Amino acid sequence: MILVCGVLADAMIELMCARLNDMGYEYVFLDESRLPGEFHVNWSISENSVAGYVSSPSGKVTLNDITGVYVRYVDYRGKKARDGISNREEELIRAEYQASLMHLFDAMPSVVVNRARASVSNDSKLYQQLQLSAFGFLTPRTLVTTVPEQAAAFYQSCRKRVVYKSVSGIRSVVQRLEDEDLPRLERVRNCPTQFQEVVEGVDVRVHVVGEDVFATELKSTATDYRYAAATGDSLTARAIEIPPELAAACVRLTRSSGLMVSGIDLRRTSDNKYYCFEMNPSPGFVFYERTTGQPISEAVARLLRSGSTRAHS
Amino acid sequence: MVKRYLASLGRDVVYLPEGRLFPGLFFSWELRDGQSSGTLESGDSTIGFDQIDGVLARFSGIATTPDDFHTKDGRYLSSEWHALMRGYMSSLSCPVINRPSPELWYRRFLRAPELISLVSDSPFRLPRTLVATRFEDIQAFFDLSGRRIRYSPLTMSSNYVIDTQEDLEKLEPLSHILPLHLSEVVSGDPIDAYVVGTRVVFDGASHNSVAAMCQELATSSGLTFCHLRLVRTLEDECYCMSLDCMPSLVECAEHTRDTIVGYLVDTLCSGASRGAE
Repeated sequence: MILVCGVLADAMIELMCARLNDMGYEYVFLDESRLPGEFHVNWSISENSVAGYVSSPSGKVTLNDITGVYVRYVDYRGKKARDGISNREEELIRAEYQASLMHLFDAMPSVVVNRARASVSNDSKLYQQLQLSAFGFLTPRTLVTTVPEQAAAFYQSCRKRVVYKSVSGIRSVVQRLEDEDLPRLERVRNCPTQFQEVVEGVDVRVHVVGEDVFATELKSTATDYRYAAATGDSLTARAIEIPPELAAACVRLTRSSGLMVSGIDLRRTSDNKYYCFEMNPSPGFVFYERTTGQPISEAVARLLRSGSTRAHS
Repeated sequence: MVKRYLASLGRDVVYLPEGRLFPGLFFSWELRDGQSSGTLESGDSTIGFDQIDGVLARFSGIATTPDDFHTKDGRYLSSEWHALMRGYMSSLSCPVINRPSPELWYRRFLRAPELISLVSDSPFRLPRTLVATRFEDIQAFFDLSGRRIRYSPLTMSSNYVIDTQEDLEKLEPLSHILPLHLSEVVSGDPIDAYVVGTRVVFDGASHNSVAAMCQELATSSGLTFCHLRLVRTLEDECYCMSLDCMPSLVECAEHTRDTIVGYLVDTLCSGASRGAE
């Protein structure tokens, strides 16, 4: 039995439910938008091991019967507050629910895509960069500073080919630093800011699913291809093969982080070097799968059914 | 206390008060070809990262004034600062107290639901625990646990003992709106143990037989400094009730506090002595 946990409005949850239906794999969908109320998740710790059940309107599943969990941790924004419960109380209730599910999925011995405790490393892109270097990946030259003069010197030293972006998990649009931005560098005194030398090349997104690797080449006129549609830039994607040693490094990195599935952002330079920017622990692969036909969700479904935690370190 | 002790030993100490850093902090860190370098300016002096012998890191989670934290910019700044520090702490080769792994970034006070996944082979027993939304399961757990349990919110360190049916029934309406985290009350000798580097300090009588287990739990959690709240039963079984990753020492006896501070200082200075050997 597979457990899918999240909300149907999330395209990834919709895709995984559809894929599991297609493949005829048995699953329970724990709809977090109907928690509390129609679902119950009860679990216990006894003799240092976990047991329990999930009950839904259609029945009850014991945790021991679950081979895999696919979970997307929910952002509850927009959910209506209930009568008699203040916004602050509602926040606390949601935090308690999130914690109860995260702790459970962290503790379950089955396949979990992905455990919350393994999913936070990209909340610090600098921590991840150190981790990537330790795994032998090339990473772009990077400066984090609160000193405008240092930022300006870095810009000159990189021959004016610099981007800036957030350090934390807060999503930011990667922007090119230009001459006209230099007066604004004074603002870095108020917040440490990350600058990176531009690595010219072609973007490659690698999805690792257990031991399987799916690489997609992306060509775009945008600085950040994820926002190509919003900025009116072009974007094309195609499935490619990457060198076996690079694929193996992607699998090792994913596994060592305790992840079963990851999305790794690479860039291939004209001399065939691959730079690594970050590893996403909760990759949305709908676009890549639909554009290239790569069977990523099938691989995830098989992994969930296999119950094999070989990738869980 | 640590700052004062270090100063009394004649060590240079840089103190970065988290709520008053910006603007004013001069910090530059470059990563290039796998190498890390940078400087930090404090007062009139500029310190190279390679001159830092040890770091005591205690983050509140808020890198602004409380008023600014309520603004979008204030929350963004806090988030960026902590993301920077997580990377920075992990880049330093000197002793850092603590340098938590990502799985502990958002967890300070750990009880059974967190400990069971953090340490797969815990040297201690964990109290029987239930997380439930059905009152009949809660009633059964209460009966199984000798009608004496503890309710603790999962996201807070507070807890409430429940030892009457009347009190238990107050949880019934709550069980309809949030999951309830309950644990058995383990009877026995309470033990407060502090792990500091390679030493274990007990607040009160020593329990040398559990010192190695405390050390083992701290090591497998990746922590240099932590506080374990233990209970030893009449059957000589030892339970770990909680692990605090950022102990405050306010509840310790003065002698215990002084010993811990001394060991913290030893650990912080061990990088410098190692470098000099």
